[in-house]
Amino acid sequence: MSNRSRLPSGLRSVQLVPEQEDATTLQLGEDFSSEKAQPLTISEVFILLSRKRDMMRELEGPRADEFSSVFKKFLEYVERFDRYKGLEAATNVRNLLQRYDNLDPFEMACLANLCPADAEEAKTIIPSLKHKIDDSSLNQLLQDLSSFTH
Amino acid sequence: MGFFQVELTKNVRVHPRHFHSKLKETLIQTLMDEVEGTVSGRFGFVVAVLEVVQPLPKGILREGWGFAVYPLKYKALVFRPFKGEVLDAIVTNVTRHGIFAQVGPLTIFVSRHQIPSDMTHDEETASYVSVVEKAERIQRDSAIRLRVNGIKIDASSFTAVGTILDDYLGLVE
Repeated sequence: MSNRSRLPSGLRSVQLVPEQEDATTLQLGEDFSSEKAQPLTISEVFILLSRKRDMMRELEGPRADEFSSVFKKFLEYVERFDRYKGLEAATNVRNLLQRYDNLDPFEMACLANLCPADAEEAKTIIPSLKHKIDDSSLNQLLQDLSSFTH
Repeated sequence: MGFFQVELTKNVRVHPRHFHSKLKETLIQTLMDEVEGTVSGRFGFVVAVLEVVQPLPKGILREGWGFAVYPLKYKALVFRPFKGEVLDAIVTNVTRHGIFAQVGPLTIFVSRHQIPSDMTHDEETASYVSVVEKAERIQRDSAIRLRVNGIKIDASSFTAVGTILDDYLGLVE
């Protein structure tokens, strides 16, 4: 699928992301198939990154605050968009979502992160849900999710 | 939706001066130093090494070099954007050409043409304001919900373009 031989020399260093990827139809490529990759909620990421930061701080010496800027920027981001706040709420959310086992793990993470208000909104922003779950079950799930938000 | 746990492998090279009781710690630290904060087109941003798969493999000595190479398997937290996904981003810059927003270190550009026409650019306040609802204003540090329309990777990072035209997109919080 490489187009490199047709590109002018100045553009050859640009890699084009495979055209077949499309989150709206859950085409995430082989590396991110549900067997190979586990999508995480923002709350889970916040917990993981905070733990790592705390562990690093316990080490004395120069390593203590030596985080990559990638790490720092994502930590700031997940702190801002963490809706559930805390291990207990994050675990409750994860357990709730796992019960809907006809949903793809990617869809579960999207629902948790975006917190749509109702089934119509959910199916608009996560189109792959459309024929997978009826509106009343989805509305119930969304209500239960929002009960865990802070 | 962006964040994933994946299993990756990396060949970590170790100099003979580390061939002592702290070898394991050195290996893990070297792995972290080498991969954390890196970006690739395939796996996105490597945000953190979560765990190195045990037991650690045996090192392979390089003939003539003295270095040992360890093919380490590890679990990593990565952020990989996908075309078509909806995510929340923080606005960093507003111009008449559009809005720049960030998801962590990833910049997503929403062009003027991907912003609803009932929002106008207000140069004085560097914002986009709704003509219908004056309180609806997108400016620096606003949170917006956008859909990723396209992704490009160049030598060292990703850039992405997005839209806030569709229903349920736009200002959040």
